[in-house]
Amino acid sequence: MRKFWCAFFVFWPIVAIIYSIVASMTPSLGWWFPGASVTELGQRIDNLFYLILYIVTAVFIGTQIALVYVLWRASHSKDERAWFSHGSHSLEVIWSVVPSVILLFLALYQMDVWALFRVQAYFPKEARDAPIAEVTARQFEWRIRYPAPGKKLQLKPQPDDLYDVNDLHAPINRAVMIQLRSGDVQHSFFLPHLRVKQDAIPGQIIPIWFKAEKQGIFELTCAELCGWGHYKMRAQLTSEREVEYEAYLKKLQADQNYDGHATPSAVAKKDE
Amino acid sequence: MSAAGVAQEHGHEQEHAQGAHGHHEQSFIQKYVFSTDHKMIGKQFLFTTLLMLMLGGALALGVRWQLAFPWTSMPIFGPLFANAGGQISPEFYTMLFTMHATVMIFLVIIPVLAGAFGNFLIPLMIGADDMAFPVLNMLSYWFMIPAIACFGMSFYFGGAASGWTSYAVLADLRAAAPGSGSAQTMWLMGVTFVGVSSMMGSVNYMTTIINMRAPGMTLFRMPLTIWAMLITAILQAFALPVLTAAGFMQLFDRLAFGGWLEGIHTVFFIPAGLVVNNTDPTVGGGQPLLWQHLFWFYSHPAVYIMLLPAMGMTSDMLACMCRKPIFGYKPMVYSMSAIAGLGFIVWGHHMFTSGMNPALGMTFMVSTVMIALPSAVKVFNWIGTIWGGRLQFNTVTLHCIAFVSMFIVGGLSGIFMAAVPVDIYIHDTYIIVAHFHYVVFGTTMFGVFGAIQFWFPKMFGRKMNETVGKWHFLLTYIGFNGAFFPMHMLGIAGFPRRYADPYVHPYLEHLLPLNQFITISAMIMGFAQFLLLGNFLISIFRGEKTGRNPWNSNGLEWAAPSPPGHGNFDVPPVCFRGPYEYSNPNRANQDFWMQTDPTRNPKNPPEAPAHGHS
Amino acid sequence: MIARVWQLLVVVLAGAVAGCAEDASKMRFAQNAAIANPVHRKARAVVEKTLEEHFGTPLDSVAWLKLPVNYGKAEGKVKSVDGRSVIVDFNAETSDLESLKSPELSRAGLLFTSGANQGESFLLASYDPSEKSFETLLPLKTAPAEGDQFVVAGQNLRHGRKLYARHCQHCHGINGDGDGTTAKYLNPRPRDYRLGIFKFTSTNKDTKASHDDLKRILSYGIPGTYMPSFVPMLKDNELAVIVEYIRWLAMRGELEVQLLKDLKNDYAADRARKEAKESKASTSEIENQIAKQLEEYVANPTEGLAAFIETVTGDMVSAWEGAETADTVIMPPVPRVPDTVASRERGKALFVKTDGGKCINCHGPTGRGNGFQTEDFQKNDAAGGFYEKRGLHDAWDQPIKPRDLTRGIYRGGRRPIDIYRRISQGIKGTPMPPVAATVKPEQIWDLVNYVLSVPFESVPRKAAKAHSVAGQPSEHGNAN
Repeated sequence: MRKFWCAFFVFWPIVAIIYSIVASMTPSLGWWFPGASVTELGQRIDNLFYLILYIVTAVFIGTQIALVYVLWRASHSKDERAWFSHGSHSLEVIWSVVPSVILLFLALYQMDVWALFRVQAYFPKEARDAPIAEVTARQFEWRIRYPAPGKKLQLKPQPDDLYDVNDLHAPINRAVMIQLRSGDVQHSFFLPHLRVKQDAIPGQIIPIWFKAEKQGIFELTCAELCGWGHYKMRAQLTSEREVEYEAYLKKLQADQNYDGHATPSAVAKKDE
Repeated sequence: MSAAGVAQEHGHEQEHAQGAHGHHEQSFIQKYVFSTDHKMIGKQFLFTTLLMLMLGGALALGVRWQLAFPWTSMPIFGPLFANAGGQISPEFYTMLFTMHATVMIFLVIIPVLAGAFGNFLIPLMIGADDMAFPVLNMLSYWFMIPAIACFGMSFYFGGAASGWTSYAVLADLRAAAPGSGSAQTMWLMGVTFVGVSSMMGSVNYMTTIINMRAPGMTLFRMPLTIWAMLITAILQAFALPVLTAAGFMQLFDRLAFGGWLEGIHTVFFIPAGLVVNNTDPTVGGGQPLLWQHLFWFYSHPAVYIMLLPAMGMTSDMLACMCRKPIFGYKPMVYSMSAIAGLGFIVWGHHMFTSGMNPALGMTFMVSTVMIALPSAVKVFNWIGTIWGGRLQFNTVTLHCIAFVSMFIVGGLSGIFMAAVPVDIYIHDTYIIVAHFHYVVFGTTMFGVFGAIQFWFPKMFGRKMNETVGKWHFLLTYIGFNGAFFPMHMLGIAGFPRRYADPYVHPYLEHLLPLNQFITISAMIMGFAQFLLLGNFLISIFRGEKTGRNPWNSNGLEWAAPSPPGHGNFDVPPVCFRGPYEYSNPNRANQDFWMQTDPTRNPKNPPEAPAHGHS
Repeated sequence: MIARVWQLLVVVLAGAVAGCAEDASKMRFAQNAAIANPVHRKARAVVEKTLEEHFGTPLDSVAWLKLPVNYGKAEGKVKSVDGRSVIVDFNAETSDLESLKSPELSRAGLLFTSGANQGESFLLASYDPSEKSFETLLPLKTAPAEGDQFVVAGQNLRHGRKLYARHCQHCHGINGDGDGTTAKYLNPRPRDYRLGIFKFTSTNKDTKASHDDLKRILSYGIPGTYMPSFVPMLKDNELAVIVEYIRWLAMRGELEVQLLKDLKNDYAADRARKEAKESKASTSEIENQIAKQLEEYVANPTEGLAAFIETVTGDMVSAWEGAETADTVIMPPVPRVPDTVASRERGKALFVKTDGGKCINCHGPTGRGNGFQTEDFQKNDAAGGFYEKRGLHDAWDQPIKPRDLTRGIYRGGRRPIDIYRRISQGIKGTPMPPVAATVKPEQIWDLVNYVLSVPFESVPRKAAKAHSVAGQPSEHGNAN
């Protein structure tokens, strides 16, 4: 049984490692990131993730091997008595100092990405100056308010603002900022493909910026429990070329002013 | 009252020595129900928490069922509570995970560690005849009952459904969520009662450990279990008032008292102008983030409250099972203290994406990353303890090894969360769920399972069945890893927590089979706990009888009869040495040297350890 | 509920982990209790049976081809008949062949369009895609000949039911009564479809909601309520089948209400007791008499139940079909009057005029939804007398508040045409009246312009412009 148990404790970490390798190497399984990040900042976040992953994997393998090694030795010991030792001062010093240096490095190395993501002073100027939309999370949908084409987003709603629900449009290759707020409880603005997440806090307006570098439709979900319909808050980010973006706003404007006499193209896409 | 028939080894000692206690007959109620005996209270806690463990597990399986087989008829819960056809509703799902966490944290993990083992072990291990305040101790158990009743009432009102974190504003406004009505109020009351219970325990433990140690039991001769309990008690004493205060603040926010108390209707966490469920816009100028700060100021240290005692107990068990002194006793004590100290300044890592000041994110990141250090030191020391030992694979050993192995996973995955930029992506995804289950179940519960089997002879004078114990371990370990390791991958794939139906999102659709695998593993794990429960209950009456010291261990508790009578020790114990003198070459004939053993070192004097001891 | 908690604990203690399988046969559409209670239980049973015959049960629904519901369709010809099973050939061009492979086809409806069985409808009991043969639930009276044409329908109903169960049922209830498990926590309550009334439509005041109206609600949600937007969660075809299922539930509910109301006249719940008092007959004799009468009523082909259903469904069908025709959709005869200050002021004048649109009576002088009617006792037209509570009530007898226009939330949509339709045709099932008869279209546009300007009136224009969001710290100052 001694051999069985030693094998048992070594078996599981091996399975874990193999499983992790398979998951990370086989994107078709979908057990890893939902595709490469479509923002540069997201890629930097991924790189930090991988850096931690490599360090952690090395430590994981090292400690599990050490554990099973000492297990094997201890369970197969033929000595009459165990090694009488209360510890080793030098070992304690080594395994305190080395990890602390690595950990401190990890912490300091993360700082600038965080600052870029979240500290407004570091936001790209073009984004900071002209937020493209205000996203209001409410139970259980995302209501989006754009300024009328050619105008700037105002803090208070304006008569000519444009509204949409669950569909945030943004031009590609341009750093854009949105103002996030909540109409009722806390929510979280989560764009998994862009590695963007920010809670919407009632009573606060929180700026978020991103610069999508790929055209397409990306999921926008809620990542903070907001009630029974938490899972229902599915929306999308439509990342499109500047001209399409402008056309979208025009269409939105035409639809919003639709009085039954405008051109048929003014009917919203959702209306068929 | 009876210590008769179990004290074979120490037959020369007086069987019925009662110490300072008078020998008087107690009624059934005094003895088994409203007992002031720390051992009985510990057992009461243990029975209660095991019961609650099964309930919490059932709730978890409900959650898992929905994730694996969404909207199909849920066994047990469906026909009992849900719609026609057994299909549950989303608010029922939110209730399930909220109450699962609540039951597991407040009614299982915290009370089983501090309540059950803290109570049972502290006086025995330090050589006291009981706690410093026996009546307070009794009250600390009986305050659990209204807590359980409050959570029960919460079920009656539909179940609290705003997560165990109870974030304002969701939990703060009565109209915000189905569970935010009276269910949430009862939930807050329940948490308050648990807090009062813990606080009574913590005052008692600190006083007992500081004042009632046996002669010779210096601070650095205390077993690590006692150190852990002391540090935990201090943590509780400092952190709990914040939660209690925050709980009352939320309660005042929620209740409109009316009449002359109308002015109490506070708005601590409620900002102005929110329209929830079509009610009138809120009035106020409160700050929802304040709740998160207050809550995590308690709940992060609470994570260590849920971990440190298990660390201490495992250290003791591991040393005994390896027949070897603990590797680096003082570094172990210091690292536990460091965890406790740092534990108070890391709460902000739960709030990296919450919208608090970004500069705080940086400071909290540094402190959080640094808390990994003492944890790492502990792991290295445990491995060092096994190194060169003489190990028998019994159930206790297996649980201890699993404890170390799982703690490595849980600890390492924590580093991802500590790194703020990475946390932006993984916050509130399943990788968080994986991480804390590796710590709270993988680590603490394996420690507790081991501790149950280790101290069972002391509690009941009998041993638990080894074969059943090993099967329980095997199934739990396999089920546990099968359930929780793939959750890391779910998290990396961006699978958010607390979704009743994640598969409405196309980027998560393909994860259904993986979730089904997780659910099946969880079911195996759930089934295994019946083995534990059965083994536990049957062994109380049928288990193999044992003597005072079945494990040849060193601690003071093993000098007392099994089970110890009223007043614990038949001879008032005196402590002569530290608790880890296993395999001491100066000790002839046996590889352990009990703390109470007055035998002097034959080679007089030096009692020098063979290797450098800091 | 306490008993339930104990039950739970006992179950957990007993360690029963075995699953309790869903008993499909027990799942039924619950009867409309509010209307059914005053009806004699035997008559209620007749209604239940009738409805089950035409609509089935939730898990085993029946596509009743009489109704104007798009059940999903497949057309084909009979090839041969082998005992009870009919071997067929589907017309690939007009049929959704993919849906024919699904087991959901079983118990779909079947209608012969030519041959001896022309005009007869049956239920399919089974369909075997490999043999291309089906069996009907009841034996065909006359065996179909080769070449007889038929239509199979019902796949969409099955699909719709599946999606409805996942996305809608927990609020709107299994039978569309707006009383699912989540409903009791919601304000306002989810719509009860069974009156066949939907509030926000593009159709005129006398017509039902159109398919597109319902789809628009699903796409955009109803702001200010818990009805969320289901785009992009659901695809276009999924929205369409859900809408069909909802319309089907609404028609089912309507028929149920009509049947119960009709039967209430002759078969009141307390009839036996009352008659026993008046005559000398014992209660059981009268009960027998009731049973007999009911039997006769059900059996009578010309003046009985069947005839009544024929009439009622006829009206219903034309009402629902009417909603799909272009001439019932309200289109303003004139384009929007330019949104000028003068127009808004004309609108405001109309708004506050007590003998014009009477908006002020409910919405109040400043549009806050606090007109005097909200403080008054209101007549209950359906039950007679007055409502117990002050304030307005809707057709579902729920208290209802006039919209507070200052909040800028428009449940039926914020486009000018939406507001125009609301004002012109009123909101169905609510006290909001149609004004088209008394107010000219241009004036309605003035009102629209005024209503849309209400949320911004209190904001001084210059101050609002100066408050640019860009580069400003948030309201609470710690968002940087």
